[in-house]
Amino acid sequence: MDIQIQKIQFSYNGTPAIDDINAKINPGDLLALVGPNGSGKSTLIKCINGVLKAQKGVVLVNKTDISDYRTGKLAREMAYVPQRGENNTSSSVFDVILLGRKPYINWKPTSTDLEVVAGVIDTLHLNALAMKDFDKLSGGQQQIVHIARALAQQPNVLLLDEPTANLDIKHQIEVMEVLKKLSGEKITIIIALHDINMAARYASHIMMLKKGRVFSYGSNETISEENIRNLYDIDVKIIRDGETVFVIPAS
Amino acid sequence: MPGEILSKYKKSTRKHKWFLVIVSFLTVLVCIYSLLSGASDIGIGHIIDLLRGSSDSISWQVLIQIRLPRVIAALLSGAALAVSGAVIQSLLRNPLASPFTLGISSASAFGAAFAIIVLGAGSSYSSSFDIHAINNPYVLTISAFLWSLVSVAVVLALSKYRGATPEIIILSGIIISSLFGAGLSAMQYFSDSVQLASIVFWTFGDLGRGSWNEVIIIVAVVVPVLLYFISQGWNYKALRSGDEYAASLGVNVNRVRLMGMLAASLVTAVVVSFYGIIAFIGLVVPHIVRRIAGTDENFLIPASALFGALFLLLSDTLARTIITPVVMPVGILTSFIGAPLFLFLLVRGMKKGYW
Repeated sequence: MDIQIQKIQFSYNGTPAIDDINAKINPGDLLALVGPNGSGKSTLIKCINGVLKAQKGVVLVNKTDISDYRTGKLAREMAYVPQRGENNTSSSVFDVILLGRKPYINWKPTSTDLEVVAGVIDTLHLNALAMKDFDKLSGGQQQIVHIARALAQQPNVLLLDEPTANLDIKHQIEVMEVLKKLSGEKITIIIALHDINMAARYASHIMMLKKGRVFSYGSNETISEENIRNLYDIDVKIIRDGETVFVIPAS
Repeated sequence: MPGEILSKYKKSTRKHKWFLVIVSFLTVLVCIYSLLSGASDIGIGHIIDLLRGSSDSISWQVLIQIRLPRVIAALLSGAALAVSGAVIQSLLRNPLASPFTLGISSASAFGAAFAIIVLGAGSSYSSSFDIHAINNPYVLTISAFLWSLVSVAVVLALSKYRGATPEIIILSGIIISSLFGAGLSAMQYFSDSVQLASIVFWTFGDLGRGSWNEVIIIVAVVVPVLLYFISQGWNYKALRSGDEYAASLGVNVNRVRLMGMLAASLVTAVVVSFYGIIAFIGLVVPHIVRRIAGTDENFLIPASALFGALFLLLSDTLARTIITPVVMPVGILTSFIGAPLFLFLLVRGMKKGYW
C-alpha cells in the first residue's frame, strides 16, 4: 500500500510544527523519521493517520485522501502505536490486543476476531503472557503488546511513535527485528526514532526533520557527519562497515 | 498454540457470565424480600391472593402504590448512578470520578430546588403521603439537568489541561459541590416552611418520595441511556487507552466523550431531582465490579448497572426495615457505607494505583 504525502502543514496555535512535507512511501518500505526533540516527528505521524488534521496539503493512502475514508475504514488500513500508552488497566494482554480488532467489531467479537488475536499472540511469541495482567508486564513487553494490538488490526501500514524509547538494548533490538520482519511481508512501516544507529541499521529510508521541515531524505547514505552536525549541532564520527553504519559522538 | 490461547481466554470470560447470573438471581431475591417487608404486614399469601384478584384493597394499595414503585425506583436509580460512575471514570480516565464526586449531583439538587422555589414547579401542599407534591416533574428534571451541565462544563474544561491529575479534578468537584450546597442553603434561608421541608429532603436522598409518575419518567430516561452506554462499550474501552490511540481506531473522541458526559448527567439529574442526592453509588459500585471481574467496559457497564440496582435496592430495603417503623432515607445509609470505601480507595490508590 503506498502513501503519498503532499505539501502538508500543521500548526499548533499558529506555530507550524511541520511545514511543506512531501514524501512517497512504497509498500514494504521501512521509513525512519529522525530529528531533534520538537522537530515534528510525532506530529507528522499523527497527520498521516488523521489523528491530527493537516491544515494544508493532503495525505493519500492507496491514492485516496485519508479524509475521504469512512470512520473506522482507515483503521483497517493503518495501525498506530502511540508514544507512551496510557493503558492504565488491569486487563489481560489478550484483552488489550483484542481492542485492535475494534475497526472490525460491530457488537461482539466474532470467532474470526478472537482467532486473529490468538494468531498475533503466537506470531510475536507472547503465548506465555496472554492471560497475564498488562500492567504487570515490563516496559519492553508492554511495547511488544502494543505492536501486537496494532497488528491485530491487520493493517497494511504501521505507524510507530518512538517505540523503543525507555527500552533496554535487548528489547530495542527485539522490537526492531519484529518491524523488519513485518516490512519483509510488504507492510509499510513509518517509525519515529531517536536512535540514529537503529535507524541506520534497520530502515530502508530515512527522513531527517529539522524544525518541522524535511532536512534530508533518502537511504541510509543520508546519515553523514555533516548532516548530523547540522541537524543536532553535535560532532560525530561515522564508521561504515559494509551495510552497517555506526554513529559515534566525537569528543 | 493459538487454540490453547483461545480456550484460556474463553475460560476467563466465563467468570463474567457467572457474575451476571449470580447478581441477577440475588436481585430477584431482594426484590421479593423488599416487596414483602415493611411496616405493613404483607406475606407471600397476600401476593398470591392479589394475583388471583381476591385481596383486601389496603394490601393492594400498599404493594402497588407504595412498595412496587419504590422497588423499581431503587433498581433504576441504582443502575443509573452506578453506570454513570463507570462511564465517567472511563471517559475521564479518572478512577475517583462519579456523579457525586464531580459535583454533578449537587448541581442537579440545586437545579431541582431552583425549579421549586424560583420557577414554582411544585408549591402546593399535598395531603397524601408526600409532604410536597411536585406539580411539574418535567420542569424539575430539566432544571436539574441544565444546572448539572455547569459542573460538567467545569470538569471537561479542566481535564483539557495536562496537569489536571485525577485528584485535582475531584478537588474541583468538591468546590462545585460546596458552591451548590451553599446555593441550596441560601434557598432554604429564604423559603417558607413548606418549601424548606422539601429542600431539606434533597440533602438526604430518599426513594420513598416517588410515585408512579416519577417512575415512568425515570424508566423513559434511564432505559434508553443504559442501552446507549452498553452500545458504546468498545468506544469507551478505546478512549481509556488514550485519546490519540482511540482516534486512530476511528473513534470520534470529542463527540463520544461529550455525549457520554451529557447522558451520564441527564440520568443523574433525573434521579437526583426525584429522590435527592444518593451518594457514592456511582463511585463504589464500578470499583467493586472491576475488582471482581476486570476493567473491560463491554462487561463493566452492564455489570455495574445490575450490581448498582442490587446495591441500592438492598441499601434501601435495609434503610426501610432496620429500625421499623422508622424509615431512614437511603442516602444516609449509602454515605455511611460509601465514605469509608472512598477513603480506602484513596489510600490504596496512593500505594499501588487506583484501577
